[in-house]
Amino acid sequence: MLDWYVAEIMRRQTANLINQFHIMLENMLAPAEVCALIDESRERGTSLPPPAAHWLGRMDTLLRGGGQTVQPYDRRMINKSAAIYAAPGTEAERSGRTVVVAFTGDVHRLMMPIALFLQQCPADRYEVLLLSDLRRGLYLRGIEGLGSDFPETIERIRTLIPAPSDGRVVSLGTSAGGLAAIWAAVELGLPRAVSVGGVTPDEIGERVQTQGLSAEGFDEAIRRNAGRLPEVLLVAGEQNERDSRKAQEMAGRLPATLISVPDCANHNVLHALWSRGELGPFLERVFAPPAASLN
Amino acid sequence: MNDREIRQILADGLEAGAVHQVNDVSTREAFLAGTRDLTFEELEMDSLAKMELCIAIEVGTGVSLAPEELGRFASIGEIVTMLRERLHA
Repeated sequence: MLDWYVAEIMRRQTANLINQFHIMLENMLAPAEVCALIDESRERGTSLPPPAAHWLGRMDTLLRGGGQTVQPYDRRMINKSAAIYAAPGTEAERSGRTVVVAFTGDVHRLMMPIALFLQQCPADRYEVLLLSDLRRGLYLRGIEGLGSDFPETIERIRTLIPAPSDGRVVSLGTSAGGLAAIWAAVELGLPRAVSVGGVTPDEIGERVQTQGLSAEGFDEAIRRNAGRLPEVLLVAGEQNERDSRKAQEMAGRLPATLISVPDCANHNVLHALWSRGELGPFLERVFAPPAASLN
Repeated sequence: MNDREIRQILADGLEAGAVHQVNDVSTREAFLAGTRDLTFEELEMDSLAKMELCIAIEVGTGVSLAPEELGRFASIGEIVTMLRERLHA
């Protein structure tokens, strides 16, 4: 992989184009893949332009600083919009893990590099199906390669996750992925949906990318699944008025619990929690079965 | 390249960085028409958003600007002016 990385870096002549490549890698690579790049680069004494050397050093600190264990997720791309991250394991080991169906926001990540997010999720307990809407349409046009609208996409997702009787599955959506996470949990019969700084149907008419679309299907799904709706957690920074208002709006559509993260004015709540060393325990709480969470 | 084309490149760059203000239909149209400016103070861009804006500028216009240099500008409109001058010099 280092040869490919070096070739890509060398054909990019400027710092901005190298940054563009690194952003793409941050939106895709698992922790062990990034660390393999770092280690191989050091072992070979590879000479790299300053932006590349800086990126590798920064990622090393983020992923392994303080003696963190590198989570052994393997990455399997389904297509350019969907990937599964799972550590190798026996059928019994894997069936005991929680599968997180994760809908990224408009920057196609979960508020931080995917490798950094996965470092907060022990690979012996979680697997992640990572989904992105590359058209930034709040997933209403579906996910490229999985479906041409959201209901069709949900049916495809159903084939990629364990049945409710075979394992625990939860959904997570950050920012522009928030509505999709809740909608998917409602339709798939998941026990929990977590939306962090998530969008609401009220924004569809205001957004450039979603003109002519609607979330009628979302409201209809809520009505159709009344009595068996997921536990919905709406997370926002306590001092972020816009996200707190959006959470209130969503809570007006279906039963939900609002979680205000104290001393946080940032939209990027997950990064704020990470910087305080609180992200791992936070994710553990919001992904855990009801009896163990939120208290 | 006319002003609207420059503004479209900048709007695309802001969108790539998930700067939500530029996703608003009326704000986007007013910005593209040149009747509304967007200040950096109101946009509250994080480091990733600044990188995406600089990438869009470079890919769309060929003008290189580092994220750290964005601090020289108070608004996106000032970047439009700079790009117009650079591209038409």
